[in-house]
Amino acid sequence: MATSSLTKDFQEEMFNTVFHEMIEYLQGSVDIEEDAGIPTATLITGVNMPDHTGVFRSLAERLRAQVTAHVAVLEAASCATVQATVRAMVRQLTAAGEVTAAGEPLSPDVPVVDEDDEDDCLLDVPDQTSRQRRAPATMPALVAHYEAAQETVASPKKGSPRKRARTVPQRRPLVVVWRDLEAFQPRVLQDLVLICSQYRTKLPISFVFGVSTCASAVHRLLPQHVSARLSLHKFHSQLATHCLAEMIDKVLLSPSMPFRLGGRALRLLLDIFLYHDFSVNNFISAYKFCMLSHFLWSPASALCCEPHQLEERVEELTGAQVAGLRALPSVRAYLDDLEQEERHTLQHDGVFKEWVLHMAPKLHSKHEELLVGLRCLFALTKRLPGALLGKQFREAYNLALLHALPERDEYKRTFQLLSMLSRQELTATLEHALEAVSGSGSALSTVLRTQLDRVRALDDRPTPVSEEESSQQRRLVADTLKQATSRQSLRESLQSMGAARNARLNPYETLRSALLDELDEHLRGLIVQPSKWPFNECVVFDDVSLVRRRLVGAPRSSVQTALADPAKYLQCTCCQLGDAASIRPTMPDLCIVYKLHLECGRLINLFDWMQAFRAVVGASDDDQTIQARFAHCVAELQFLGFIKSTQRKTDHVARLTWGSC
Amino acid sequence: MNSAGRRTRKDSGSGDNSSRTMRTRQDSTIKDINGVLSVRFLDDADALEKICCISKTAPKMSRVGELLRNSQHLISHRAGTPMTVADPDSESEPESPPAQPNAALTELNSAQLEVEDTVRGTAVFGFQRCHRRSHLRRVAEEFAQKSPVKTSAADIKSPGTPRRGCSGLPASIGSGRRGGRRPVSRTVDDRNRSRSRSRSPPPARSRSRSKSRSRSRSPPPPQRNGRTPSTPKSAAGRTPQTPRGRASAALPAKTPQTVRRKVKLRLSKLKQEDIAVSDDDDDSDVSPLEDSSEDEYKAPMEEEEDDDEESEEEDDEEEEEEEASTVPPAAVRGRGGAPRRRPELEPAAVSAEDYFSLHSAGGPTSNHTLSRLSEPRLSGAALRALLDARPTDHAAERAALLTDLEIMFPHWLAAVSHGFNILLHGLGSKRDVLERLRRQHLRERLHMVVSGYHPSVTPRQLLLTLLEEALDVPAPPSKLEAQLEAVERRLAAPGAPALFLLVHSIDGPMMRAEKMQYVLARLAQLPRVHLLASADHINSPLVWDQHKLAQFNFLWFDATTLLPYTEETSYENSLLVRQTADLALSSLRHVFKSLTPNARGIFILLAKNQVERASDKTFDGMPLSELYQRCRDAFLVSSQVALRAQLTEFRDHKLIRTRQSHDGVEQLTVPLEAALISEFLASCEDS
Repeated sequence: MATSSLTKDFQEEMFNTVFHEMIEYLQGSVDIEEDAGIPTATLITGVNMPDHTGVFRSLAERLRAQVTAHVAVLEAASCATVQATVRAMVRQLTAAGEVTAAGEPLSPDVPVVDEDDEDDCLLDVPDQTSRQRRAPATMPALVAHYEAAQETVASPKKGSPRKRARTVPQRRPLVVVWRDLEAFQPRVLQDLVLICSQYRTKLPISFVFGVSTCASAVHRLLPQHVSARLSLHKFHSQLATHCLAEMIDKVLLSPSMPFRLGGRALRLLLDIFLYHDFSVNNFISAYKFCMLSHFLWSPASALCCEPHQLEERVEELTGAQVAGLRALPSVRAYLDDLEQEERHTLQHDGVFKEWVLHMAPKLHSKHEELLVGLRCLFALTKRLPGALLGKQFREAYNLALLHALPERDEYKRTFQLLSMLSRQELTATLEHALEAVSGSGSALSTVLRTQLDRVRALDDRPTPVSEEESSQQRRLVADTLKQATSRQSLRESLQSMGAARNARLNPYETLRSALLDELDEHLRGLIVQPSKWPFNECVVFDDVSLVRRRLVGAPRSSVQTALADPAKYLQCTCCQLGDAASIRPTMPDLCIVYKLHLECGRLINLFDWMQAFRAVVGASDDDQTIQARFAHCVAELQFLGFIKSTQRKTDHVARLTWGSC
Repeated sequence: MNSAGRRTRKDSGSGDNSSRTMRTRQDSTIKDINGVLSVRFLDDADALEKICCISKTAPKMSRVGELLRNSQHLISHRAGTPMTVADPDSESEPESPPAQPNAALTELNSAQLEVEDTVRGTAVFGFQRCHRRSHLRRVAEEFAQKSPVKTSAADIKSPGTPRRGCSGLPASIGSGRRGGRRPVSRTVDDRNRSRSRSRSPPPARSRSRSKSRSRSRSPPPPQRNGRTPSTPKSAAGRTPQTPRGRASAALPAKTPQTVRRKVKLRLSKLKQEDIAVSDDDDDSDVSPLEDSSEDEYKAPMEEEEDDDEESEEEDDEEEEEEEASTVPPAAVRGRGGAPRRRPELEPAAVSAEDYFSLHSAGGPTSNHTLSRLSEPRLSGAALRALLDARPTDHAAERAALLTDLEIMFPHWLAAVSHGFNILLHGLGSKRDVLERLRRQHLRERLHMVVSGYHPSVTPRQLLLTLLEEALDVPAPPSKLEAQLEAVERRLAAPGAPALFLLVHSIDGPMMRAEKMQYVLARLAQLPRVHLLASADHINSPLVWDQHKLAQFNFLWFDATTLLPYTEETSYENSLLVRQTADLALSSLRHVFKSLTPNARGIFILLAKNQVERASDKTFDGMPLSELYQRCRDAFLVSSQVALRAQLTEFRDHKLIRTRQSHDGVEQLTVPLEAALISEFLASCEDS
């Protein structure tokens, strides 16, 4: 799918700058004096843990490509002890070198594929021999290996001593990447830093610390005598919110994407991002799910395609599909507004298809229009106080998807505030808006440009208030002030004078209101809520409850609903409850036992519980069977985690939930 | 849920019916019969309570439900009103003669007497609260009806106060749940009715409570004024007929603690409601993950309401269900797309107060033990036999639920092929679901089933099986990390098959280990591994952190089957099932057989000693020196070193356990029950 490539490109770019800086630092690290400590790049990644896998993978790939073949990525889960850590580190660092040992020339950028191939052949041979072939994973072995590798690199260049001297700085550093530093055992980390600093003279080791909280975490984990062995440099990765904004702009709103998220679905996805995990990867995954469900389960999605494929698709529509399209709510609403005759002709499938062909491409152009209008509006509001449409464009976009924006208070307030701007501010705002829409080539940009010209032209003209008028006015004021006999009348006359002055607009104000009216009219034409478009169901996916059910699991509430009111699932008539707390003997045993347990406190007497159960289910069974049923239900409740055994009182169980659940 | 609730009330003659129908009748009728009824009624109520608390005979509860239903049915029938709820037409109906309800009431009373008689045994322990509640509620409602004039007067004093006690009238359907949202302008008649329905408590029972309440809550919040029957005002204006002295005489001896708890509960509830009312106006910012649409909003609120009042007094019950009925039925039904049987779930809302009320009250539980039963703990086999002999209830419905899930199989496979993994949750064993999926769709594919509920499943075992059996790797490495890498390499190779990993109870007891989840997450992340898992425990999401969740990339499916967890619970150390020690005994025999005669002698010596002293409570093992002495006497060992060597072997096979006593003496025990040991000794002597 096109999206995956789009998102991949995007993720590559995400960390472009920070990686570039880091790589420069690491490349230079070889030359750092030995007593300065191990050069360490602290990469502050942020709390969006799910994204880190991708980040570190691409970092390792880049390091392999640009800095050195000797890269080790360590994860806390596999580094519980110093021994395991050293082994993992040495294995990974020497992995690239083993190719050299096998007789192949060492290329500085050993691709990852090579490594895999090599591992595969390891896998094929019996385990015993592969273990023999591998050198023991210790630091001395690493030193020996590294020196051997350096010689193979250096040997072809063994010419003049001058040349040799030039090759020395080309010593490739050994880079050890510590993913998620906070998760490592401090002990292991400290020991390893000390070990590595011992070998600093022989091996140009440098570290990359992935820190997800803040830079001080390094000092919290490492005592002073350890951190003194490091020379730390801080690098900040891009904020996840920036990545999201980019992502939305490049992928979700891209004109090449026929699929659109509806307002409520988008809001849910954004909420999951902002309030839950900050993970762009999860956002992409959720977006993929939306897309998948749209194409798999929405029949209208047949028309969700690139404009040039549309004709073909429409031709292929079957009768049932056409009927389905006709039954779409947006189409029905549109048809109801049409004249009787026109509606009648559209009942014909052929005509209808033509009409679809006419209408469907408009969906894309309308979305473009909406975006242009929205970008303009967003640029207009950006400098106004109060962030009426939100601080990010995505908020404004979401608002426009959810509501008919021109009818909203935010929109009206925006124009109110715009009508109070001074000339300079208005010019600046219009410039911004022009900049925002200039790329689109829509009519709006021409409108804005002419408006801007008009405002600027007004600047050149002299102020139209003439000398004579002002002197006349002054005289008038003096007269009225003289006429005033009391404080009351003076106030009244001043007020009326002020009102008269206000009523008369100066030319700039006249122009401003005219411009804003014009702008308002244009924007109203552009910003149309997508749910109003006919055939919007073809491209817009907005089944928010489905997405929520799938992505935000609520296992506990499903269990409790089934226990408290099994009729909801069973759809039987015998277990319908009038009152949420009531119990019916026909309900499944587990539900009865559960409901009885709700009435208890912290401790539950098993015997009494069983008696109550017996009372509810009636005397249909003999005692043993009831006991068996009850015992099974208790075991199930224990399995589900509602109760546990306790030693506090004989034959009692402890309740693990509270309240009525 | 609520739509279901409404339906029930309409078509089944449950307890509320009688009260509702009574309520909808005109006030004048009630006035007429007032004098006669109340006296009789109060007498009976008092008598009921008296009997309830005095009688101490053994419980005989099998007839409770039946009797209750019969009596309710009878009443509603006698009252001569139709079964339909809140029918406006019922007001214009001819009034039934006073004699009829009168008779009905007598009938009810006698029925109640019977009911109470059978119920009282366990009433103390809380299990019968339901029955009692419904009965007392009815009593309270009918009592409240008898004083309509007074209550409506109280109402008029504060005409604008929003009120909650709204009926299920068509007009009020769809209006919000709180008074604040309700249209304030209502007809007096309407108000009267709703007022008259808000019950005053049954005099005998809640007397002490209302007293303490009026003490603690002297200035009642204004908006509560109209609806809580036990506020000082309404308490003061109670019917003069109430024979206070008598009531107090008949008052059951109630623990002051329960009273205090109830008052506390009530207060806390009031406080919450006040907060909730103020919050109600802007519901758009409750929770970001909540749905924004208005109609879906009511459901969670309703749920919360239920939760609040679940443990409440009987007089709150009524409001609760009335509110439930105000939700438009369409709002809670499932949306299109999903199979019809999956209801829309409301997030379970619980109030923090419930936690404290649960933990502050040392709930009085009885001292009954299971030894009262003929066979306190059934054996596992007997349990299974008994359960198998019994036909399952709702067999057709449960089968339909399974079939519904089968329809989803292609969806799951589609989602799985796009890199998602499936997690099934919901009540009931989901073993059958995954099993059916496996049989129908995965027979030809490479798949592996992990039984997470099994108590011996380990990550290493899982990976080894995966490598050896599924992926045909001849000599898999022994280290966990290396195994994982081997799997990754094998599956990354071109032409590698897709692996379907079916995990039953991914949150099973052994699966909760960090290592296990790490392994599963690593596997699930691989593009060629498709994980389909089920989760059963209510707290299962706690197993995963964000990183793991992202690795799993789950889609959650509600797969409620309501099937019994037979297989899953068979490993759990159930509380009511006797632990069969067959396993321990047989392992003991095996080890014993391989011992030298002298070692056997030592063990028998130790075991015999333990059996002999089984009844001695202070016995906590045989001191080592004593054992040595006896062994030497029996010529079993010649030196302490030899004895220690033997003991080490026992310990390795877990035949004995050593413990240091407080004075540093090593004490040896056989970690088996005395009965088992004697059985073992008997079998030794036989051979």
